[in-house]
Amino acid sequence: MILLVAKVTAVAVVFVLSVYSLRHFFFAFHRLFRPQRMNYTDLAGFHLPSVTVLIPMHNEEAVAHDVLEALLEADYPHAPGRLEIIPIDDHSTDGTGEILDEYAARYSWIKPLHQREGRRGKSAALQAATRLATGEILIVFDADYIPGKSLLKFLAAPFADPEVGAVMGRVVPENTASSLLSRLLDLERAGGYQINQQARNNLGLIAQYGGTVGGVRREALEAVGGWNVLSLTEDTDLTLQLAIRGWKVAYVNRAECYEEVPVTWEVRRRQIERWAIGHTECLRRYLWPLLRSPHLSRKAKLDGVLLLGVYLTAPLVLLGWAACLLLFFSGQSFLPALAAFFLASTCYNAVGNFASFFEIGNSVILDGAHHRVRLLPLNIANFLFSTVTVSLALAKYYGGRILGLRPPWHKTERYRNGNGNGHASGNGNGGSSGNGYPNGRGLNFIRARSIIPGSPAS
Amino acid sequence: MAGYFSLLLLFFLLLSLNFYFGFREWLRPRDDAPLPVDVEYVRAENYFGISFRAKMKEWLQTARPIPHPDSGTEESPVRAILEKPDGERILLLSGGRFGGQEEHDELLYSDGDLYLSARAIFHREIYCLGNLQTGGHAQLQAVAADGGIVLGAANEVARWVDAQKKVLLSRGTVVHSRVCSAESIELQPEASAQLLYAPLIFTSGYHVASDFAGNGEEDADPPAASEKIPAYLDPARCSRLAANTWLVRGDLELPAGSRVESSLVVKGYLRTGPGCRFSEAVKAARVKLGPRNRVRRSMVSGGAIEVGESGFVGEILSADANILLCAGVRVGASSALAVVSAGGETRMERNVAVCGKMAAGRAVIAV
Repeated sequence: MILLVAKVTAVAVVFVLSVYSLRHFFFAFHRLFRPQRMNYTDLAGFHLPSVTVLIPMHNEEAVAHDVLEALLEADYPHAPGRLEIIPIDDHSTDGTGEILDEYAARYSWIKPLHQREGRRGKSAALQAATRLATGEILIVFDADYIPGKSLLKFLAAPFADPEVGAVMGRVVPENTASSLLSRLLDLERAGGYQINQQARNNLGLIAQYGGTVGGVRREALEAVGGWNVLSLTEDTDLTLQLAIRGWKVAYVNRAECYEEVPVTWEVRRRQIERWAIGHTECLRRYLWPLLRSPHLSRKAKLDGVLLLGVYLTAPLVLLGWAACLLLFFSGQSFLPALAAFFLASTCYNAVGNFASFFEIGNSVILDGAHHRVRLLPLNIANFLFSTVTVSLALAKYYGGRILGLRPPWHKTERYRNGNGNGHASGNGNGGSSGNGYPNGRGLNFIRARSIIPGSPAS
Repeated sequence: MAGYFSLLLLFFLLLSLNFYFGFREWLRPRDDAPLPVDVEYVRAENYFGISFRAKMKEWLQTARPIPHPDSGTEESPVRAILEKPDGERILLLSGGRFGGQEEHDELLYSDGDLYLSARAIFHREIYCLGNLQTGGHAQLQAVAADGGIVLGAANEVARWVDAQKKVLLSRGTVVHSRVCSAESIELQPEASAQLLYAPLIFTSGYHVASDFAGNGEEDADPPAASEKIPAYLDPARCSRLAANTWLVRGDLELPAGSRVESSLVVKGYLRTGPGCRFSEAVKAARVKLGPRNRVRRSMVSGGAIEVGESGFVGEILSADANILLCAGVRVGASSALAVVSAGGETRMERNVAVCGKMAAGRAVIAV
């Protein structure tokens, strides 16, 4: 009986992982060989709706200056009623509030919101700021992001399409040299945006609004009931709500923006724990409405289901390993499918895991960065870490649900200007501070480095 | 047993080889800089012209003169030859006629009006401080002029054309990249380019003196959208996407003279009769607008768009496939530049005018 259950489990897991593998391969090949949809970028600078930029900040004094200074230099028209910035001081206990007030005194179109009471967290902060915002389009940046001068124009352009409810730009890690983890996350982000998001955009599937470096049409947000303040991943929540109700999420690969990625494994653990729980809550909330939506095609629904279920693959992989080990040591390992699964689950270069690695490898090549692709085998560390962390997070989530507990919201730690207190996992790189991250690598550092030969700036 | 251990050894050797390069890149990084994102980037549609002019000025200062036998003679407009440090030559011309049916590998710099002979082939860029005109069947790399540019019949430009005054693309001329003008661009039949940018882009038959008819009317605020389902929508197939946006499942055919006050998203084919008006943005899988339709804001399609005779679009016209602008169509206004963007081709019939930018995945063609 146990062996039968193990066999059924293993075959089921092989099937689910094969579907995800095919999806990764399909996206990668589509991105490489099929025509790309890039039309909205032609509209940049010609469609200029009124925009409100929202920046939730909780204890962000280390980075607040940079994001505001960068937005001051944006080439979006600074005419009254065209652009306003609402930085949200979300229960900060450091000097964030004072910094925002300083800017508000100098620029009438910077209108800080100080949240001292009520619910804490990004979605609650966004909900409060949305009530004050006057723009047709709300563009959201996290506080550690450094938007380029043209970014607002690129993000506003797709809203010329009345079906577009939200727009997502591309996030590019800036602190890649900080640790092995940050380098691996750089690869992961490249695959996620350059291949996965772009392919979904090309194919008319559900591109994902990622909560930062993105915008949402106010009318669409109101139509779906605003930001979900109960969600740990308000971005995924909004993506699903929009898609189910007939809105489209557009992805603009050209709208690139630097971000900080976690440098330490502990910070990464907290980040993916939040993502896994938030995402799985979305699965519970939106799976059925997604399948019943009259606005989505069958392929979009299938992609939506796979998107919602992506974090469940982690415990499935663990379950599959357990089943395979049991079958192997009980003399059942002759089954070719199980052997294939065993390889897929344990070696980066077998079927199951290879698909996502293939996607990442191609994205690195598309980005014109060649040497870093050699790090790809080491991504197995990231894969194993994520598999275990997500599985534990989901166990915690379902355990919490049984006990009626709400998961807490954790802010992701910042490292810029020596603010981080974590320690890098040791990559042997010189030139960094004690936290594994070079001090003072803010806006000015990026500006100085961004003078690329042949670019208009040069 | 030995075979077993040999295979095991081989396995670990191959496995460790994979990781060897990874560990090497980790411990002795060669590529750990972030991907380049130019935060200073600001889009300038005529960037190529601006950049080339700046480079030419720099080259004129750094290049050294070399002897030229014909220099200063009345037969040759070449008054000097300069050689850049990389060995490339710049011909300094004092205007006049230049070319002949031969190939030229030098950069050209003319400080007067310049006429390039028919069938001449220029492999490098040309910069003219005055007006520039070419004969028929000339082949050019790229051209910048501080005056106007007239490209003769069936010219082929491998890259871009940039002028401060009017650009005329004569019949059959093809520009493989972009054409920019600070004044206007005229396309004669069968002329094409991949991207055009100017305050006014028009095809033969349009009279520059006449402004767009009816624009003042379009600028007036439209009446507020009604709460009720408009008469032209089938209640069984439509739903409210947002307070001011209707969504229609399937095709929609609007009768002549319909007025659409809300944003409209049609999942199927949108066809309209003559004289329809759209106050807000419109999106459909495929669009065919009848004659004299007026779209105050954007018209977007996942497929093709055909704008009927004497139609008007105020802001954006964007299609994933082809766009056809029938005779008499106007897009944008001199006070508010617009965009016509097609994933495939944009075809313009006679007497079509667009204020702003036209871009196409394949080509913008005058027919």
